Amino acid sequence: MSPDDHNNTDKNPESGGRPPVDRDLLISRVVDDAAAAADWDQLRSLAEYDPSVWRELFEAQRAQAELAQAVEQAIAIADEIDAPLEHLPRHGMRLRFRQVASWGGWAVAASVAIFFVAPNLTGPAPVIDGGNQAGIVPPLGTNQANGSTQALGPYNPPEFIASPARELQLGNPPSQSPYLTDPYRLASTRQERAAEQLGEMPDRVLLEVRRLPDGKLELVYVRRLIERAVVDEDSLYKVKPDDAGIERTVPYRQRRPSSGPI
Amino acid sequence: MQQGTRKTASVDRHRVDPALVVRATSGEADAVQELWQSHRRWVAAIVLSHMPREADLDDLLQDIAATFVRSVQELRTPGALRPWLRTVAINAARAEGRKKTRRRNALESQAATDPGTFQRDETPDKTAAVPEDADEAKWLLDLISQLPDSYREPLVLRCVRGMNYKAISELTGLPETTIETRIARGRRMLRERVAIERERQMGRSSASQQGAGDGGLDA
Repeated sequence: MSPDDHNNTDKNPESGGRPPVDRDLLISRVVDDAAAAADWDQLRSLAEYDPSVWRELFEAQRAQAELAQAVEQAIAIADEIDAPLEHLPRHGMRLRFRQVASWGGWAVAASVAIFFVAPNLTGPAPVIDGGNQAGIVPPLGTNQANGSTQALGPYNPPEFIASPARELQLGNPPSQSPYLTDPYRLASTRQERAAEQLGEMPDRVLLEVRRLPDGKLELVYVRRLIERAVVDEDSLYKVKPDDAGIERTVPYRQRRPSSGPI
Repeated sequence: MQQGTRKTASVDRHRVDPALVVRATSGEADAVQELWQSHRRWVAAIVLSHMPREADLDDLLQDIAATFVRSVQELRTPGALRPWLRTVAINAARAEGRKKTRRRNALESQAATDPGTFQRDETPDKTAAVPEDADEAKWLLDLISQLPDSYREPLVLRCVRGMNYKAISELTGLPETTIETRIARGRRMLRERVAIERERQMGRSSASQQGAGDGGLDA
């Protein structure tokens, strides 16, 4: 039978109202030993109508056997190729690189971002339910109590429950300029008391995974929180390089719309 | 489709062990090796289905293994391992294809400018000749390489021991029904090509026998 005159669907009038069966699929299932009883029934009824299907099935099985043998033979070479472990980066170096990369991002962000120095801000900060886990970002939702947007209860997969975020020691961001770091840290500390947490950036930066003696995993990672605070303009500063290139803290002034003639 | 009543083709032996991935991403050499060894066969099948015919699978696999070792620690979740590894394999195979194409184009343009230096390869198209038993595998793989990409990959993967529809579906990100259909269609296309090549070869051999017979009569 030539490929062109091949009827690919079961047009057997005795198929009893069942939807037409794709002939290729039926044969393929049998070849893969994935045919159910119903598939065999349909194949049998198809063969009663067109006996060439048995020959086709035989050819398909033979072709598959030959092909499987050819592929297995070709990919057998993979068994001789091991992972070149000499290319494995040393963990310490990798960790240091990641830390530099992630904290470097913070340093750059800090150099251009606005930060808060708000000594007179008070008020408790809503706390996101503890236990937000690395890689699992709680969905944002509305707090029914105060109407603010904040993180809903997180999903805690069992393998991560052992290391709640609050136990982690993230340390201070390394920076070439302590001048940058200190006001930022001051601002962060005060914000923790005053700012309202809206949510969290979806990506957390994994710094280290370490297996503990008890078999659990200890994760060290960076969480980036989105917060909101209401401050006086006088208490707002930004970091800006001066003429000598030294970064200075200067008061932040937001540009106001011009009231002059256009 | 009676999906619910159908038997599964085979056990998925290529399932990712999350604990092993975590160990590998934390830099444990044994885990990295074990992880590579448990996945290298299907990686080879992916490369085989995407690489140019004349490329060396051995070399490509070594490159992929090196990339795997260098970058496995960047993985964030165990579930990302197989799609990532598949992408690495496909990229390596395609890069090799581009390299071969560039080399061929360069040779052709050089041959066009200086025809005396290069002689045309007069060896017959290997796919046109039906092989002896020893070359059967190579011949089939050559024929398979002529199928469209979307059919070729699942068809080759299905030949890897333990790769059932579900495993291929997870690997490629395509629905199981799509994989099943592509495998069925791919098999159909391959059977047709095999039949055509065999018929062509039979026509050739009968023509040559006829020619030899005529020659004999003339003599």
